[in-house]
Amino acid sequence: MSSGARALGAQGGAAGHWSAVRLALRNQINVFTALLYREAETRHGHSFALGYIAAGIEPLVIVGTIGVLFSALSRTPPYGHSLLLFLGTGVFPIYLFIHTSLRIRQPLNAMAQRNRFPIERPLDHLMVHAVLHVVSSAAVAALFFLSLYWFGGVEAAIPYDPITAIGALATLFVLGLAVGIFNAVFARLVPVWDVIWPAVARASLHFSGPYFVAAYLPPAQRFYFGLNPVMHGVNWLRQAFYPFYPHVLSDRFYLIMVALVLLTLGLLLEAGTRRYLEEKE
Amino acid sequence: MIRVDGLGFAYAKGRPIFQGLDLAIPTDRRVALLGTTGSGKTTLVNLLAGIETPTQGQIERQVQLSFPAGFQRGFRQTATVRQNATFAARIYGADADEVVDFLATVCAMEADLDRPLRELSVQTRIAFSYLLTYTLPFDCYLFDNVIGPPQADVRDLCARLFDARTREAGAIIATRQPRIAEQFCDCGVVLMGDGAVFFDSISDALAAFDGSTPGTPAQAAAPAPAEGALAS
Repeated sequence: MSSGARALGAQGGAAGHWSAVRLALRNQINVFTALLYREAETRHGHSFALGYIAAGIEPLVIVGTIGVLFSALSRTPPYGHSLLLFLGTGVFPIYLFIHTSLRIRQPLNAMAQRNRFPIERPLDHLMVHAVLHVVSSAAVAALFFLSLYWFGGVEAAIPYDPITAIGALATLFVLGLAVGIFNAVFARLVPVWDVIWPAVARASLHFSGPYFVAAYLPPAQRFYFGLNPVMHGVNWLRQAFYPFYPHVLSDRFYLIMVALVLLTLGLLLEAGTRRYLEEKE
Repeated sequence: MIRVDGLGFAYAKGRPIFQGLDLAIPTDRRVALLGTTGSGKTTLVNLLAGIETPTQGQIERQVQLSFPAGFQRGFRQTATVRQNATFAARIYGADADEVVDFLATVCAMEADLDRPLRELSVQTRIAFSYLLTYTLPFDCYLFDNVIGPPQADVRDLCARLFDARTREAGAIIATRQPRIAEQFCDCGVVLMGDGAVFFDSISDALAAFDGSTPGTPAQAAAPAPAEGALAS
């Protein structure tokens, strides 16, 4: 190597590394905000607001239909005084999980990186997607619960323990991310998974306990329902609304562990199969 | 300064283009990346730009590198020139208004600013992509073979912009034409089969480049293959 290279005032060692890190950080912030702005400003086909809020309609419809059905069957609310509140505290968290795991696939799909500037990385798109999704989901859910409180006179609609509520929702969100990332990579390996998973995810709603109290089930059945981490998340959330809600089948540790393990597996799988997938495509 | 450390790269199932490449490229000078066809010049530019990821080793960039001049893949065809320029400005940390202003005035793109990209002619899109590269304030600009599009007026503008930018920023031009290397660069890296060597002066680099490829016509007015130049 010519000595000229070294004599060029090259930033060596620590100083050089540090400026590389600072640069990377600055870029991360710039790319993230720029993508956020672009998503918010785009008007083609569907605008940002419409697309994301439309996702909030689904849980509302489910709550509505089950509510009507139960009322027609003259069933008393499985817990508490308000059927709608009980359903809402089940359906919204489940849909937070389902929608997060489904929507997170888009930025990670195969050809997307080919149509981007080199400074845009898949993780940036993923984060923007996640932020917008969480914000819009939160808006719809907040609207639902506040309406129950103000118009329905349901006092329990405002959680008495908001911290617990946020904890439960945040963990379900992370679970959604983990499952979503894992599915995104898996679907690139086994394309038919892309069709199977959404169906499984939506059907899993019924096994996550939105319209009955899992604690009241016989022990044998309780065990099988308890294998579903989302069930635990739902019960965790309900504890924030109902002070005496049974603590059975609300193993927070289990939920957190499943989320973290799946997240790790998903990221490892993504990193490990990156080259293989690039070549395949 | 860009530090390339043990870089290895191969396209899918192909023979490796680089293996264990170590290099330090200055980013405050005009560097020519010299190599024959197939020596990996374009690949190296793509690796530096971040378009491709190395299969081994790493690249440490201490300054902001541009995308290769004329890169169009990041554009949204349904969006306008202004919207694309604004997005590019933002992701690269530049003032969007200034960028659009520059394109409108100095680059004479005012008329096309609010037209969707897909409505413009191919030449206009190419011109836009090169002019955008120069408009954005990078610390070091990357070029793959040409510094501007073929149309005479845009090429002249690009040459002037190149001059203006490289007064304070660096440039890395991948080329196999000694004429271009000599005209635009003051130092060079020569890619040879088993590695790369940096030369502090472009004439030394060109001499080494000529020396390594017996078939290349000696167009550069280089001094006779210098005694010390190949010793490193």
